Amino acid sequence: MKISGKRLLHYIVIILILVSAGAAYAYDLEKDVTEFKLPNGMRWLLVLRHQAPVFSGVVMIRAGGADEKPGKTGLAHMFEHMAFKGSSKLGTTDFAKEKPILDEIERVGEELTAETQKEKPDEKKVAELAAHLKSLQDDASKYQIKNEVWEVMGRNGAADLNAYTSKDVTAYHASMPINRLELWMDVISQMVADPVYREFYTERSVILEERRSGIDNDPDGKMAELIGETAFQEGPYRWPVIGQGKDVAGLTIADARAFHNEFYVGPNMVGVLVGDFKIDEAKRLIEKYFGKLPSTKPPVAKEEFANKGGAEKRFGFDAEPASVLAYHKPTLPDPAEFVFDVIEVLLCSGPTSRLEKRLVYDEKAARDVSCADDYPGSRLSNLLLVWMEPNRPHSPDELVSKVQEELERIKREPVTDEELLRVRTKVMASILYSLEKNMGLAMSLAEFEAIFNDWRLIAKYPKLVDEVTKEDIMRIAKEYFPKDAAVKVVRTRSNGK
Amino acid sequence: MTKRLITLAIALLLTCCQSDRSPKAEIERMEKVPMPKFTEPTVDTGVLENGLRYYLLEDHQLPVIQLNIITKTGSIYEPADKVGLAWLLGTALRTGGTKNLAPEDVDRAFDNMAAAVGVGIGQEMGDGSIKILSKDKEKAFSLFFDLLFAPRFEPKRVDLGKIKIIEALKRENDYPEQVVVREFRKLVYGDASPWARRPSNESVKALKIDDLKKFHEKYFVPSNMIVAAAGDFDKAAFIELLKKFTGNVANHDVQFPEVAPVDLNFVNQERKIARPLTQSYIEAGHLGIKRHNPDKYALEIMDTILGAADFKSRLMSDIRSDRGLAYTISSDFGWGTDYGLFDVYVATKAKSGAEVINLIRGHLERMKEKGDVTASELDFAKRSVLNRLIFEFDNSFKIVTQRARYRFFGYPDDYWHIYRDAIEKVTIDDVKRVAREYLHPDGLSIAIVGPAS
Repeated sequence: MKISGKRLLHYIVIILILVSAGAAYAYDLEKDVTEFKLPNGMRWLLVLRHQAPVFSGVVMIRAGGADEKPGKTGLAHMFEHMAFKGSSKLGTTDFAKEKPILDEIERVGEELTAETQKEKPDEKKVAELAAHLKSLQDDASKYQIKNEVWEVMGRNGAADLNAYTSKDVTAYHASMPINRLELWMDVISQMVADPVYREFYTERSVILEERRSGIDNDPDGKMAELIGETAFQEGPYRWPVIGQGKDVAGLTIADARAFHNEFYVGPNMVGVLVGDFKIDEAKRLIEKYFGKLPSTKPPVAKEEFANKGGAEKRFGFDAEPASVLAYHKPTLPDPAEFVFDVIEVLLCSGPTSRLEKRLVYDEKAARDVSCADDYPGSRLSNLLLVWMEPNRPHSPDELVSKVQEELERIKREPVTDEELLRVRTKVMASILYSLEKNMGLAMSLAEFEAIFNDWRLIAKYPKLVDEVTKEDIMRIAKEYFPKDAAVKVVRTRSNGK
Repeated sequence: MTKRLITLAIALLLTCCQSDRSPKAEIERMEKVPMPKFTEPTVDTGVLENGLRYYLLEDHQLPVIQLNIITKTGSIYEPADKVGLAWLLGTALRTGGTKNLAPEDVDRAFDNMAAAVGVGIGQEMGDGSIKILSKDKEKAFSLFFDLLFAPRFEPKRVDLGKIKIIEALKRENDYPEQVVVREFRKLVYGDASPWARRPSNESVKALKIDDLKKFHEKYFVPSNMIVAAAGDFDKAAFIELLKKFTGNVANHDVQFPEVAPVDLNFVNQERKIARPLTQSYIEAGHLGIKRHNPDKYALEIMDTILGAADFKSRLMSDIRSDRGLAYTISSDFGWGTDYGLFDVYVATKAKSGAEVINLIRGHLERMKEKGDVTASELDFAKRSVLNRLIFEFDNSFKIVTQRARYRFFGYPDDYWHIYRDAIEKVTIDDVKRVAREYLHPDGLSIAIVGPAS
């Protein structure tokens, strides 16, 4: 539920490292995974690990910011918050009595939202409706048990219970002691299959607070938002996961319900369990609790957007300067993706990588350089991005020019054997490192299956990266990094310095 | 008609009797599933002749080894005119090369092995870690221990370290949540306290390579360090490796300088930092307790009820769920080597700042004065803490690093059991008593970063 600024970038970088690494190592992932599909189309991946009587589980839906329409941005994330508000069984003392009040809240909330969204809202009407809504909420709360999802999971030892929404997916996850496997199934399945839209309008205010923290008051969050707006002329990668403030303020329960009905369906969902359970027992419980999800097909999202580079945005903020240089690129299944993975590691991974070595260590011009090669998501054509923070007196523009020089060098000169070997080792090691924790493995499997429909790609990845040649790197650099295709975003002090 | 009514009554009865299978009963049933028998993995521990203590656990699932080494040193031991020395030393050890290898060669060797290496020094602990493919253990550990025991302190890298620290200090100001935490610490401990002070550009620039050498020589000796490692190795062979790479390091008893004790007092005070933001970032609290205070268990339960539990805490339920005033609000009743910090953190839209501070104060007063902690609150808090404990064991590296830290902070090796038993024994009366004794809503320090008005 925490998606913002610097953390957003870090999150993406982590995922990238997973994406850019695989299995030429002495560990056979494929043999450890048991997969099966429910009649409703939901796919499950199970991995046994017995070092402690615990398990980690994730349910991932291929529904994220990429599935939103202009005007309703932030809806995927808004729904994610609602999933924690309970179901017809959780979060209520008497749903039969609560339900009619919730229906009335929905009606009044919709009217109030429509009024506040007007250019000139009728203040008197707004006040009346808000008072009415408040009294209805007070009525409803008589039948509500606040945060019961958190209470039940918390008192049963849930660790890392949370959820996140990205441009590509929404994921709900928790680790628990193994004797709470059925409880996990029961609670998580209710969250995704039977959500009840309690406290919707309070939660909308919470999200607006989240947006203030993550974007308005965070120099990196603001920068991330502007990268999207500057680089993409159309399509859902233009806006941040949390959505535009005005859109979020206009979301209604009906919007959230429609989103849920469309996307939270068996064929669009993946579940992963990693831990100390028995396969038969897990399958039985999965069928019992997740079998009830509908089997309808999710809508097919538009995938092609005419985005091109050659854009620049400068903005002032009460913070130290930073800059971003980005180029448009395709995503999987385009095989160029593996070449971009190599380029990303070559440029930005470790003190010997080209940008870090030159800018941070040799010239002392940057305090930090980092790269991401599927910003802001992986389902649609995306960006290779370099994020830079200068040491004074070096300027953010100077860093951009220097990175461009390095990209020119990649076009011109083949990389060395040592560099290529290093990149391959790093890709292989980084995926191995990511499999160490139960939740890390669960997330990797879920992401690959939900985004690329192929968890086995994790195992194949090192080999595919190994096949990238020096010529591929030069060819791709020439094709995708022409000078006039650069997207540049520069942050300076509000006073221009 | 009568018949119909009877049928209806039976139907109702059936509905009623199915309530044995009601959602709550279902959850209760699931909560009764017993935990399978669990045998804690045996961690190998011992002390080398040079005094280096180790905690080791073999785990052959992946061809990976992780090692962590902690050192009793830190910024609290810096001379008052050399603030920033510990920070710079951590950076210089990581990046400054070794007696045998220039910094660039160290970087290259680690990068070519895909080793993830970090060295840092905090207030009272130095912390070095390395994660490698197990096939590289000889070469990687040889280099890693050289970083720690035979550093080169290459001048250009020391200079780079200074630039990085100065930039980091400057950029800290860009993030209001970091500024408010920093200023809150200073407010409670005092700006010059070893537990709160921050380096300045001048203090960092004035540091000399000779200062680094002296500080390093004093603290980085094997008897002042603890190693924890887990992964794909053979224990006996691993111990031989440790001996090989640390056996020749000179040892001595470390004399720690006296650190000025924290003055225990509670006063109402406020520090405002004006920033053009759409929210106010608030830290409110006061001094906590020392690490080995036996009331820490009851305080942890009290804190869970007040604001540390995800969502279910009083602060979160009221200020986020009921009022929508914040995305996050949490409390932390901390302990330390000296008095730790108790704090409540929240960010709220600018015009709600005063309201939220009053609400926080109200919750503290209620907890302290009213003593209205319920049995269900206590039950929830204890079960949350106890049921989560098994996650101390879900990862081999976590197990050994935890053991090393227990030792470092003066707990026995079986502290896990002591902790569990002590939490189990906490009663409502304990919670009420510690709330009365340790909460001071009338002596709150409040730091606020936000718009001037």
